[in-house]
Amino acid sequence: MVPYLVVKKLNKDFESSGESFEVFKDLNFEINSNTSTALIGESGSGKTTLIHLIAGLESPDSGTIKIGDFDIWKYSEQKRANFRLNNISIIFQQYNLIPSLNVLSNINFHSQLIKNYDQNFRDELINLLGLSKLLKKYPEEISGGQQQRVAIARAILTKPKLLLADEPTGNLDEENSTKVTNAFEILQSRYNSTIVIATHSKKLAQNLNLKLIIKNKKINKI
Amino acid sequence: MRLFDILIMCNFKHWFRKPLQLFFLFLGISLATTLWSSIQLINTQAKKSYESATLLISSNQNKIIKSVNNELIAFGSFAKLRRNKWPVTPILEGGLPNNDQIKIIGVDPFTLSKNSNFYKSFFEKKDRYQEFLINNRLAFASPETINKILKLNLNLELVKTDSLVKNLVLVDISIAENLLNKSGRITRFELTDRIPKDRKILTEIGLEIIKTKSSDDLKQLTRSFHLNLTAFGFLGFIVGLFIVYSTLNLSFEQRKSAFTTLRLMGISIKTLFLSTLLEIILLSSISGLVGVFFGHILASFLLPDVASTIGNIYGANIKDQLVFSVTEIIIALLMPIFGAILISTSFLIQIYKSEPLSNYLPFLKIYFNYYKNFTSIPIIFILVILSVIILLSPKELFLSFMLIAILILSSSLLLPLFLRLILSLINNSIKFKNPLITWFFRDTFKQIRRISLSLNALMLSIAVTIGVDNMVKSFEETFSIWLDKRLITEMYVRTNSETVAKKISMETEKEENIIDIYPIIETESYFDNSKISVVGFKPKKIYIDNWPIVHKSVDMWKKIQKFNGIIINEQFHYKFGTNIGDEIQTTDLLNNNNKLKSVVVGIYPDYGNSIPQIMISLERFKDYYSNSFPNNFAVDVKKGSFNNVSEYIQNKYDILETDIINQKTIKEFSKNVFEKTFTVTRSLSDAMIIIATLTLLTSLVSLSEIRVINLSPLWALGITRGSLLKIEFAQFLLLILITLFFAIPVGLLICFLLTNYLNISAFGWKLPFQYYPAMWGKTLFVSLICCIISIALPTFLMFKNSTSLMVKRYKNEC
Ligand SMILES: Nc1ncnc2c1ncn2[C@@H]1O[C@H](COP(=O)(O)OP(=O)(O)O)[C@@H](O)[C@H]1O
Ligand SMILES: [Mg+2]
Repeated sequence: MVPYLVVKKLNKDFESSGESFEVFKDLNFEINSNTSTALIGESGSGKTTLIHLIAGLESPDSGTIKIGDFDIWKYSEQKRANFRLNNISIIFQQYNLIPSLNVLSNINFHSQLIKNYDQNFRDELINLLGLSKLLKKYPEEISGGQQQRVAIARAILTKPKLLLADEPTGNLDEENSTKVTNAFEILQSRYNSTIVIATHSKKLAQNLNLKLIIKNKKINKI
Repeated sequence: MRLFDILIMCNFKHWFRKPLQLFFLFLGISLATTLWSSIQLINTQAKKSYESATLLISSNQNKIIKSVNNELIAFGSFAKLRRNKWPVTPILEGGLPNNDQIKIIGVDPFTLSKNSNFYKSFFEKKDRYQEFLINNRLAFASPETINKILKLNLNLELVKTDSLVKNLVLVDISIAENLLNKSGRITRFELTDRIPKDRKILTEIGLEIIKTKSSDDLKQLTRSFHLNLTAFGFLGFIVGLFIVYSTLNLSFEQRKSAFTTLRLMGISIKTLFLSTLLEIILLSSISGLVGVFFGHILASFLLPDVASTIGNIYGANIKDQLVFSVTEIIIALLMPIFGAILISTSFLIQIYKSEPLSNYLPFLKIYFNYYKNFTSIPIIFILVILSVIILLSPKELFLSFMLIAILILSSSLLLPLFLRLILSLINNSIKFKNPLITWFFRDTFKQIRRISLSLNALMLSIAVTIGVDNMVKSFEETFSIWLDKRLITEMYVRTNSETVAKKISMETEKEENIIDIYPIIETESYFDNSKISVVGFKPKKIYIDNWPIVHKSVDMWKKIQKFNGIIINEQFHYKFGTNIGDEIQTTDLLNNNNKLKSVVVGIYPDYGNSIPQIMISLERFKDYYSNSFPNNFAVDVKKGSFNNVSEYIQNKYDILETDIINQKTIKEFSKNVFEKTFTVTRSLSDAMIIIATLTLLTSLVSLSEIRVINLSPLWALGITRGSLLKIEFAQFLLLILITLFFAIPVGLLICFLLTNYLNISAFGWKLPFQYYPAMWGKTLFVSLICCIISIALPTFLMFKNSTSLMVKRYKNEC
């Protein structure tokens, strides 16, 4: 098997109120293509930061992150953004919907932008995630959990090569969590995506191929 | 004590944390005050100057002698002039040292011209002259003024008179010297007879002759100039307040949670209310003071222009220097303080009504819910009804101002609705393939709320500029065309003597340089118990070809020549509601039986005149009004022979040079007034547009944090900051372009109200309304450039260092 995501010698510090705070020290790991991985760690351990680093949203202090052949921090912001747009979908902890678009437009937005919009798949996702009654509403008019499911639908609809999800079931009940898990499974099995999920949920982690735990600035397989 | 603790801990702390907001608040208030106070200063200064110049004591001549460098003249010069046989009388005038309001005018009773109208009406009629000669402690003033100066213990014998204007005291020149602490000094000389040919002596002692034109026409024009300036300054002030409004209310929104916490801590509503009120007063008075200071600078920068204009008209010695009193500063400060309190009312009321645990709507929430808000529609509806009522009622100055205020208010309510309408039309009717474009228009729709206040300020300032410019330009153009026609001949001659008048009318026609001569006579009469002026003239071809007319009936001139047709000026038309075809009757109070019945056959424009006037053929004038021989003549001279004819008439009929008027000069003066008005309004409107674009800048800067968070989802998906910058820029540009487009009709409406309502109610004449698209285009272009600069800067800054802010949003702490 060919590793799809390769992280080498990654270091990340934060500067806050004059003091330097180390999040990752010499981080190394690989994730194979068309697998699902759980990122597990206590709150504040650096899950979100790691996802941001992989997505190219936050820059590392040193080290390399390779997605396929693309060394993500070697290129210009423009190229990185373009790569992200076409290959990666992110489900953010804070949902991150576009405020001026309604739910339907939010779901369509990313896939329409990269021109791989699939209406049948969209209808399937809307049904699966139970969003059909919300389509005309605006993000600020729906609950946190609903926003989270909209964000998930949007990300999955693009059929990304790499899906990064930051606590995607954090705000969901049991029933909805199961629906989300199903959606991830469809993405992996039908569209051969590689999925990385930061999560607290044991249940979600259980079904995934690989479990990585972040502890003391390092990452380890379980 | 607790109040001040709160004030410092809570209210001021906010500003320390947001210095940029504070800066813009200061900028807004001080700029608005600058605009307002500079105009006030120019107006008061100019008024002071020409009020003091309107009283020419010694003769009805329009020439005076003053020192070349505008200084006081030494008394010795008087003796020198008299020795050289110059017919002059000295005048010393000035404001009382301890009461600037009261103006002292000192005259020399011995050399006063006995032929002047002033002498005749003031001294001769009342037999005061002898008394004044003997008793030099006599002082003449209006009853009102006497009441004022009684308190000052000036040791004068006060005589009441109604012929002097308010705040003016006429005394002997020696008394004036003492009162004004200017012993041995003279302000100017007035001429009592013809000027000697040899004028060398004047230059030797540093004096010069200047023309004064204290004609009523021009006084009215200046008044209209000031009224327009005031209206303009007021509009400018309102625009300035828009900046303050957006900044102040943003700061209040950001403080709401802090206030809630303070309330929960047990601090009373009253304390919070007072501390906020105090804060507003303090901030506005400090920045207002700065504004007054800059207003002073701006005014002194513009004043030389204004001074020279008015100096030209009245021959007044206007010093290009401003007198500034404490009361004026305080009055100037009241505007920004009340303005600031006014715009914070809604917040102050909210504080007062708040419950300690009430859930304040967070700012973001309001931002997003805005698109559903249509409360302004019924308000606009009410305003429209109100303005229709005003339009139907008689024209009054106050109502005209009301109408302009209503227009401003309703157009600023309408603008956001208009923007929303256009964008929802785009959003609902066009389906874009690219989701980014769909998003672009939907998001622009939401942006309206964010910058609607600054767009309003922009719209209003452009509309006001277009309106005022258009009006001044229409006025200028109409006026010069009108003058061309109205001043039918180049020369105008007047005399007091009937014998001379008769001679002139019989003999001069034979003079080779004179083409024709048209006698004119004017008298007072009454209509509807108001004073009117009646002009008798010969309705000859030159009038038929030239005289400007706004409305006429068929065969108008024939009806004037052969029948009982008369023409009336616009002032008459608007004041009495008289129209063509109406039969009117005027009364000559001296002879009550002599009633004239005439039919109005035409209406002529009469800019600059303040009283209603009728024009009637000379023959009928003689029958009904007065048998006296016409004493004024319009003389049609051959081209280039004005000077020859003038000299000829002066020598032959002993007419003063000053009674031979070169109408061309009048025209030049009037044109000058308009050019100056235009320059001044132009520079002020430029200032206003800059203020308005600054509003745009302020609100963009103060809201940029919210905006970055707003755009971060797109960035996170993979749209670069560069593209977002372009999008953001394009959005503002789109909104600005729609706003500019919207401003044109509003500006034209303002212009319409100024020309058709304000001018009629204030002066009794209507200005023709003309279009100057090239001028609007220039204004729009300049504003567009200003806008582009002021949106480019914050947009650029916003994206330069934004990644950390964008990322932060997705972290736990957010
Ligand atoms: N922008 C930042 N500035 C300073 N410290 C940060 C920043 N982002 C994250 N951190 C710190 O880094 C650590 C990891 O944060 P995060 O990645 O959000 O953890 P997790 O998602 O696992 O809860 C935390 O201690 C957090 O306080
Ligand atoms: Mg996290």
